[in-house]
Amino acid sequence: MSLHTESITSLRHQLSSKAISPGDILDDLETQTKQHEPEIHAYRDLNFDFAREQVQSVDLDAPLGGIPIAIKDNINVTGQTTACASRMLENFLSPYDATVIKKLREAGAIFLGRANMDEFAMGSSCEFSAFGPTYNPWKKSDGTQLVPGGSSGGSAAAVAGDLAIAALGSDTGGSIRQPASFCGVTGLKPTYGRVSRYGLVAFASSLDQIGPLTKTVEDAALLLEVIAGEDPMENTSRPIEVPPYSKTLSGLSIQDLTIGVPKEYFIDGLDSDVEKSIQSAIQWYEKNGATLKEISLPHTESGTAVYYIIATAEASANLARFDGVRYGHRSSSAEKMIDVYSASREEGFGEEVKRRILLGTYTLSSGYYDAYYNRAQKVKYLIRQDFENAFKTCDLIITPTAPYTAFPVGDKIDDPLLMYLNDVYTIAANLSGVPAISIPAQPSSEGLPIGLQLMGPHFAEERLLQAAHAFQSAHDYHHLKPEGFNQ
Amino acid sequence: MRRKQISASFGRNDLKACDLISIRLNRQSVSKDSIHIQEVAKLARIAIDSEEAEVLGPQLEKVVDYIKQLEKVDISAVPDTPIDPALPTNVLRDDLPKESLSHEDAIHNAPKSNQGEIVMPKIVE
Repeated sequence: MSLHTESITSLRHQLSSKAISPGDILDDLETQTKQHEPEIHAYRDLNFDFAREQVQSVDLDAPLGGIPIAIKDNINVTGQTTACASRMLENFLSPYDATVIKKLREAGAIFLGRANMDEFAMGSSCEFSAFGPTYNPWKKSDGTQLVPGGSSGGSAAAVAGDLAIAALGSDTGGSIRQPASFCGVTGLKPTYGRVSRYGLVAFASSLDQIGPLTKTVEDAALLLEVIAGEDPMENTSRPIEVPPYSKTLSGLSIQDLTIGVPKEYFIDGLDSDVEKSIQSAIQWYEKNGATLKEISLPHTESGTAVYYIIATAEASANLARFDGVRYGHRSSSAEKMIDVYSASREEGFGEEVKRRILLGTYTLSSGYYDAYYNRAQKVKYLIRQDFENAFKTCDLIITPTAPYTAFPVGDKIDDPLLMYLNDVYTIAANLSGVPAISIPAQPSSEGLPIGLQLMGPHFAEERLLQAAHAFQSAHDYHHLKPEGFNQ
Repeated sequence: MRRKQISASFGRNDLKACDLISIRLNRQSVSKDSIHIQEVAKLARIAIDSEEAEVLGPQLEKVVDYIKQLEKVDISAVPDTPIDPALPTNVLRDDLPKESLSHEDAIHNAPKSNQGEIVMPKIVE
């Protein structure tokens, strides 16, 4: 059997008809992980015993009954460590379930392991994990190893390498979509407020969203309809009805769509293979009856600067809680109270986390606050207005997810600014709060995955999923597998 | 640029902090926008040594130079306190006690505890 390669939808059919048992899926996944996990390192921690314990009491009639899911290491699952791929939280045992976990548990999902990530979700390559990098299952034709993207690189690599059936990630500036693009899987960042953040270790609270990384759009719809909805524990989650996304996937006629193509996204720096791939996707929508419209998102160029001010400012405040007192690493060398803070943080945080905390502290410090943080908030407002104006004239916006395909390991790690510019196409959806999905489009000439990004108005996930599903139904890019992963 | 004395104790990095003041001053002579990295680190309560500061300082300066591009954006039409309309306001709930984490669970992750209480170094000598 090769159950590990199948989608949630397919496995659910087989489980419902009793053709297979949840244990069969775990057996197949265990064989696959034994073979590939040592080279990919998609998991910070992988525990089949823990998964098999859950199978004992699983409700197979529940919507996700018996489906093993990888969880990003910054989402709390009771009884497992939530390390955020940081030495700071290496031994942190989750005292409660995140709301998304509670919902997945009720829906019968099996928690397989902790997907590796950039430490505290800060990074675009999954190289900033304190537990070692994750590698992309896809390699260059000369064998060069590539990054899986980040920060949800472990989640994306696990799904791409069939080391999990599906995964949850979190997306603050592209952390679900960019790795989905680099690894050739589907990744959805829901509207800000669509999914509860309760139990997600906060990075930048005004931008963070939890979302699915899956093999198909249909699976993303299935996961989203389980995890979405208002949560009394999280006051930015909105009381807006959750449609049965997986049941309405075919309910859209492409002919009724007006798709916006933002001119600011097709500029110098965009890899020619990526441009070709996205242009061909745009032509497919047009050929199938969609109306194309050139639109302008005039503040696109400012997105990265706004993001790295707001995200780091919020991070510097959010990560202040890691002081070596109530939880996390405490330095054994510190004798005075004040030194407990500074030494524990020095020892517990990695370089990129320190860099971002310092940047956020700097932009929020007295004398600079207005020039950086306040100004960034105002430009964020303008970016949001750009999207509101655009969606007056189109239903969806189509863009590349990332300006290039996955880059070699070590390529950008020494240049933070270069690494930050990775997120140029994904950041705007976080700053404006709109939902966005990345799905595999035509691969590069070398055969590497390329992600197509669709963005929609606030809470228009249904339309987004429908349009993505239509593309996926007509193409087989999402079925392509890296070499050596064909079973 | 705003300047502040690095005066408070930086714990085990006291000597290194002194070294860094000179590094900082040297850098100031070449770039008026250099970041007082040790001062920022002190605010952030992260002890960094001189080696780290020499790497982090220029890296942050490069990023800060980049984010300065926002100075060129016309923000005159934006209200002084831009409220994100996506965010709900006044989310209220009844103030009722309900079951929460047990004392044991709450204290479980503390690096050092004794009889259900978190242990820290003495503050008053």
